[in-house]
Amino acid sequence: MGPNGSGKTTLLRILATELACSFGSLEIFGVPPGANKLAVRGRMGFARDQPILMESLTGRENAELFAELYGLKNKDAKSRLDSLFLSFGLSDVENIPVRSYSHGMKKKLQLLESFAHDPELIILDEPTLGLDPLGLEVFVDLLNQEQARDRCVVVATNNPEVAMRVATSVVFLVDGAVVTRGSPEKLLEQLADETKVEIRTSGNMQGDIDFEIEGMVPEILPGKILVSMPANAGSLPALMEGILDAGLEISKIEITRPDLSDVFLLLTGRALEEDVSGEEGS
Amino acid sequence: MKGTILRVEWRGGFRNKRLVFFNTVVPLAFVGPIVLGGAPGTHATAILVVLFALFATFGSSIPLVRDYESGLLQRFLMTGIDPGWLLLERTAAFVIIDFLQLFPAMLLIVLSTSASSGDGFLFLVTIFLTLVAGNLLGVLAASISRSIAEGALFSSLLALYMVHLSGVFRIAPDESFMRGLEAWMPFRPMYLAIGTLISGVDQWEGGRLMIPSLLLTVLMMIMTYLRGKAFFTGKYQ
Repeated sequence: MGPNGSGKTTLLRILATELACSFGSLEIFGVPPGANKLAVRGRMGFARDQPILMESLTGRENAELFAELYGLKNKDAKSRLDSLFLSFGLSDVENIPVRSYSHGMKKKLQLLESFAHDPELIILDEPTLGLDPLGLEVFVDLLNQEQARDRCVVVATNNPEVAMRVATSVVFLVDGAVVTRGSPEKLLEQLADETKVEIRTSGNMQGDIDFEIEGMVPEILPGKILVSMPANAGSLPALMEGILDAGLEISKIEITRPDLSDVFLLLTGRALEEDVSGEEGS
Repeated sequence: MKGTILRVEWRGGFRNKRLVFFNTVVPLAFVGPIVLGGAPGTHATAILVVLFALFATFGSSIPLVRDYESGLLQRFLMTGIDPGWLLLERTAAFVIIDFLQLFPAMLLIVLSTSASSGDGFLFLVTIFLTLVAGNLLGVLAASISRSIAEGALFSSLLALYMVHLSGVFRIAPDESFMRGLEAWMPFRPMYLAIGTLISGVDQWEGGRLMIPSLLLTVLMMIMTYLRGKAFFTGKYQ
């Protein structure tokens, strides 16, 4: 995980042997790729953030093409692809040319292709960008299945929910350097005593909100107030009272636990770009 | 790879019906007025040689640069296939597709002359050889291009230069270096075959003329293979 320009894609392309290291060394499957690069590539699945497909071919033809290039036998490919097309909800459109697919469908197809040959190492760049909720669930299930089979999956994502659900180890990258790494649970321990509160407001503020409440630093934005407070949210009534006294109306209150993006902010002072909204990551 | 790329290019090449239509009709529209309009033999021959040479080089360079820009080539390479072999398989597919698309125009040329069936067959063989050489030239042009426009520019330059070296635009003095070089140029057999068809005068000096051109074409295949390996391994580790 890391903001745009932190080096996530570059790191993945180096791991996939697509780019050379400018310094340091690389070992894949326990050996430097070097002269065995082509064989190493055949044992991994790599999907970039933007789907790259043969637009004139159908989804099925594309998947068969890449399965064949990866050396999957026709008979094995058929049953494997049948199952993946069904899982990703693409069975109905598998015989339609890819040029008429939506971005999300292309994304699913490329993900499906990177899993089809049962690779030992799977490298995925921003895989959830542009996926619909069904696709996201299928993807998370698939990753968990691969993990259960001791497959190694390396994912660049800024989606804290996905990271929480699939990662055994999370690395925070900033400006090409590792800030920290650890299991999601371990990283979240740093904010274990905090709760995030978002209060939606309407109306015009009359005077100031009383901020003299211990342990709170509210951030006032147009139409909403964000605040972190101790985990029991015991100061919430006092804050609400202050907001109402300032002449604002409260339309919604949302209390959530901090996620990995909050830990990232705490450790680096920088925000992660939220890729679930559809923005392109780096 | 067992011809995977060749098969897929072949399939994809005929999916775009609009492109197939134009690639078939445009050469026909060029060739028609030339061979049916009574153009002088030397002019007609030169124009037809240029047409076939350009068609061949463009046929491989433009798709290659396009697929490099879109990232499709890199995606193929990430499956672990050999980069040099990838280029050769794609070239083979382009040659077959080009040959079929040019076939109506070639047929028109043969039928518009009073050529013997032997000369007609020779003409088809030399066009095929030209397409192989031209497509290989196109791949080499694409490998030094950074955009589709550059691909088109370098392809045209290389093709026209090779046409020139084939002796199409001037007659080199006997025993000169340029005369010797002509024999090695891959477009030379096509030039002689078209000249024979159009003028009705046998300019063909037997199969031995093909040997240097064939040798150079094989050399270009090896260069394409090595260029593919060097280009993709250099750029992508």
